[in-house]
Amino acid sequence: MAPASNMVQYQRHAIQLISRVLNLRTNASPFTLILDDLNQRCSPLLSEIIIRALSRKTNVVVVSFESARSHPSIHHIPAYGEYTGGQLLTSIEDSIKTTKESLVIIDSLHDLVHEKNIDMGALFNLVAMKYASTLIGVYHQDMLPIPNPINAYAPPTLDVLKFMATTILTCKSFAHVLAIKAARERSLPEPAHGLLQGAEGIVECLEANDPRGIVLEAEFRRKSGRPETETYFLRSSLESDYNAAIPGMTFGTLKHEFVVLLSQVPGYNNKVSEGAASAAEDDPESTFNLSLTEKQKAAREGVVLPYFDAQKGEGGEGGRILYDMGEEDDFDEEEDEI
Amino acid sequence: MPPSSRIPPLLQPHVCLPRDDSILLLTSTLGASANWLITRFLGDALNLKSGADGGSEGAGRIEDGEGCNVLLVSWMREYEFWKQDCRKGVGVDLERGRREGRVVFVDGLSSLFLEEENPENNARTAVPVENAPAVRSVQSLPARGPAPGRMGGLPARGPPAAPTTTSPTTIRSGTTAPTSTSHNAGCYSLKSPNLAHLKTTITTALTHLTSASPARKTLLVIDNPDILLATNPALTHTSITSLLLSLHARPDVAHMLIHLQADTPLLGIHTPPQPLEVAQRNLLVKLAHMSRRVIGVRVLDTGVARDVSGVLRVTENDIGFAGLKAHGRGEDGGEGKRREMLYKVNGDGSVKVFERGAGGEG
Repeated sequence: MAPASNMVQYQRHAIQLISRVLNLRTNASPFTLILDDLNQRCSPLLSEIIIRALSRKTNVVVVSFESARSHPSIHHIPAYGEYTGGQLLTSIEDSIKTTKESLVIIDSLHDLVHEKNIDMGALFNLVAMKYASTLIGVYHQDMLPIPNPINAYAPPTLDVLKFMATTILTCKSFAHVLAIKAARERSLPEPAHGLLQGAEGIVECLEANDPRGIVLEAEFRRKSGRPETETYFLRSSLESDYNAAIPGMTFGTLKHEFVVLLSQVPGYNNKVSEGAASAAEDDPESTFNLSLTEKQKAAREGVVLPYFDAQKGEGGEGGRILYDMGEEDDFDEEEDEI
Repeated sequence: MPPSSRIPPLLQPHVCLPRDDSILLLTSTLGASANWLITRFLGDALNLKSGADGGSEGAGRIEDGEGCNVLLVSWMREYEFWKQDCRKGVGVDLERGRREGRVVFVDGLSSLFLEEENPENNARTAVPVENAPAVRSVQSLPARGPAPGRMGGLPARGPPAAPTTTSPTTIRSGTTAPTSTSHNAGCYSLKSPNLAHLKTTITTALTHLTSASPARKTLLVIDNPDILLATNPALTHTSITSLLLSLHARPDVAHMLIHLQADTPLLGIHTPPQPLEVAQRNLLVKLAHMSRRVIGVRVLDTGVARDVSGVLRVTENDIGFAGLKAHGRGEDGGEGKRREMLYKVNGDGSVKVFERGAGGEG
């Protein structure tokens, strides 16, 4: 954590860091690695980056292993097809060499490395060094690494990618982050989510891909080599976040930055919202109903206790116990005779 | 009963196809078959007209309201099964659709591994084979069509004892599947787990559909392509997804519904990982990443119940950049599209879908 003189300054610094990456500022991060899984796909994050890039006339190239359809403003390279690694690099170069500033997105680094046998170094040299553009790669963490048959001692692909990346963004579902936090506060084991968790046959959690937004665990590697880690919350964008698109452009520019630190999110900080979800777990388990209904609560509120009466104007009616006979009461004469 | 009403109202929004072209993933486990769900999809796709007034949920239908063609590729069941299941379950006549050129079936079960040299020995699957001109090529795989004497009639498939009018002869056809005019049955069959052959066959079938009804787009239903991973160790998950995507890239294919197995033994990871586990899991995960909607059926977590067949879980996601817009990600894919329900498949093929605790008997 950066030594900041006060909280506001620290927050401003942290927001500045992520904002530079999301807005693709020059030299902010030549190679951003995005790690996602089925619990939180990276598509909201990527869309946000693409919209911001397109609004500033950046040439967006998507090397796609996972989708056959694309937006007309995006240069779509269908990498799933019959491309060899060399052809793929050539077509990437063709698509970025004419423009000044480009953004190249690989939507599955797993396929790029394992299937097309492209060396990440070569791709990085091409995009970031030769054309001074930004490279963003997505790696699905729930894909299993394919063992290298030739060199069993080669490091796993993901480790190499993490080593090379200048920024690593890990996507997490907001609902899962809240659940983990709630468990931690109660010293309970943290819940696990995802494939093969829970019952057989579950592929995706119901709380996965929270529509409220996406939690990003970011690690920035500064030029000095010093890493900084922060956790952010990127809410789903609204139309009012952007200016109207000027003619000839597809998207308007961003009005103001809306990514915040996770600790600034009200839903994460206050205990009320998450308490509602876990309140049921706090009650002791019993076959008796220990709670009160609304009617019972109202009746209880209505009872006037003796000492309230004693505080009235002239001191009430002394120390006598006031009791009104109910109709079910049976008057006991003998009791008064004592 | 109009066919559209055979689809339970709770299920309807999840069975109707999204507006944008997309990939849908369906997973099932050994104890909970998803065949009933596939037939619901078929029923919805083929019956859009009658179901168009079936409520506001129909907003996501194909633009011209004409429904879509269906190309069903199945490695686990034969045509006869789907025909009966569709008729029983949703009241859709696949046979009629096939005659009208709206339905094409690709059979991956009956003759996937047949020895092509001596087909006479395999009397069980003796099927009439079209007398196409013999072309030898790398993809030397026989293609099958109806016998000349049975044109327009029922397909000579199904019951093993079905008498065949011609002695079966295996003709090797080339990479181009038969295009002769006598091939109007709309039934194709796969003769090899080879992907190139699969692609050729599906492409031919698609061409057949498009030529018959060019206005409509096609729903491609692919039932259990993971069989290929298990039967052909040389295949990787990427080769299958590449094939699927290159099919999806065709302009006449609107949606793809892919059915995979999600049983733990297929996905569970031993150390060292077994090749099939890695392949199956990567295929499932990758397809899930590619899919707009993931529908999983599984058995009841708490054990067997008389009035519940299983649990149906639907999760909807906004993926890809085709519908990129500056706002509202997650608005339409919100809470309403992520839910879990129980279902009960009755003996007569009808299905009840209900919320947890709502009871299946009522």
